[in-house]
Amino acid sequence: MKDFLQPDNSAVQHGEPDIQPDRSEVRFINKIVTIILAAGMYATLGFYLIGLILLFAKGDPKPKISLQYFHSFGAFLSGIFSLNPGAFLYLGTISLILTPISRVLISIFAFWREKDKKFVFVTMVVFIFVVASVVVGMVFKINVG
Amino acid sequence: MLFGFAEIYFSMLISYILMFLIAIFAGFFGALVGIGGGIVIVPALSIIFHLPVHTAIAASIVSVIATSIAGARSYVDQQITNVRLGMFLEISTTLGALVGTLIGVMVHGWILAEIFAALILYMAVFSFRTRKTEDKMIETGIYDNGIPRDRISRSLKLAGNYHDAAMGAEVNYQATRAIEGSLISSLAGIGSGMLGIGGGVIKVAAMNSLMGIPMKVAVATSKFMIGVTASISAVVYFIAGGIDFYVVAPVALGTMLGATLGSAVMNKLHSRVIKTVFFILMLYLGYQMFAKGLSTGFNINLPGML
Repeated sequence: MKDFLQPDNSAVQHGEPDIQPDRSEVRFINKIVTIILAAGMYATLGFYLIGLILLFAKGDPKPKISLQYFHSFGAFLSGIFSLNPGAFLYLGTISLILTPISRVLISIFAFWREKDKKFVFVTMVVFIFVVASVVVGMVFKINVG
Repeated sequence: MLFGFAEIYFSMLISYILMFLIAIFAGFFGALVGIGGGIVIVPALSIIFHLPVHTAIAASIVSVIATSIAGARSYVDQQITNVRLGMFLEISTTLGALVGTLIGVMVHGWILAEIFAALILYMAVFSFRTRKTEDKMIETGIYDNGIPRDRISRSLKLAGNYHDAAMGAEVNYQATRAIEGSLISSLAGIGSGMLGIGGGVIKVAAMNSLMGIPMKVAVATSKFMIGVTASISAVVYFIAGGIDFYVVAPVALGTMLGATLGSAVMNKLHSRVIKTVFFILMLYLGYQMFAKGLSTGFNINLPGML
């Protein structure tokens, strides 16, 4: 853990062209990632703010909600249309959780566009592990809460 | 009757504002050192607001995603984050999280807690010892040329540059020890799968101390990676119905704001300041893990334990 503090002059020469990744690719990937993260952040921000404003405007006593609360997609939709604060907080949480996962998914296509095969592979492996972790987590931790 | 309602309404408003303020602090602090901030949020929610630990952990995991998104957005935009390095290390953190969930039922938690305590304390000492050399390393270009690169780092081009605002310098760097870094990062994943810690501390230390990545890049890249690991746990909690949306909303909004503020400040600070804060955090976390291991393994309770 210490030896890297000492300069090693046998290292690969500085400035060798294949050391740094392609600058335009880095910029492109960074731009895509920034856009996804910003979109997820502002969507979540919006839904949460609407939910909280509705909560205090309506003066609802705090109801306990969970996934079981909206037992169907129809119930969720009617919650949105009837301006149920819980429905908006629910939507905000979904957009929040899905943002990092969609960041991984969309990066696969971004690297694909840049013809960076190694990173298409790296990102696909990450995505597969994410999906597998969710499945395993559901099987083993089903009694959470 | 009306009075009773007003009272509930008012006390709820007050607790929302309090949660929001605490979350701003957690988000700000987390952005500076590259951690999720669950270490602040979980005890705050369970001690100050008397929420059940499960509710507090679930709310914390969701807010960790919020702070990761807000911090990562800013750092990627500032071109400090190394997205390639983050993606590469996510392989081992997500695999670690998967393994952690699987072995969680088999291995005693206290053994892992003690291993983590030892690892974190060891890294804390290293981080403290190198707090002053970081600026010198940037000046003399050690991050750029002196570090021998391994085959994986070279093949995946795990390298980059960033503008250090405090030093007023353009810093080039290349990663080294990709395999060792991956192994340590997978421990961060296992920890989050088994012990419910975000693992940002371990990721930052692995990148900075082991892989030869400048502190600020390590902080920004850790912030970027945390969201993915946390989202895995969050989906599980979400589907099991363990998330209280009424707690999550003010906390997530607060950590988002805090992380946005913190990430605007971080690059202006000298690395030695960040490293000192990081060192104190690690000492605290190492002690907590050590105490947790003793408590669950031998029923010995140390003072100051959460």
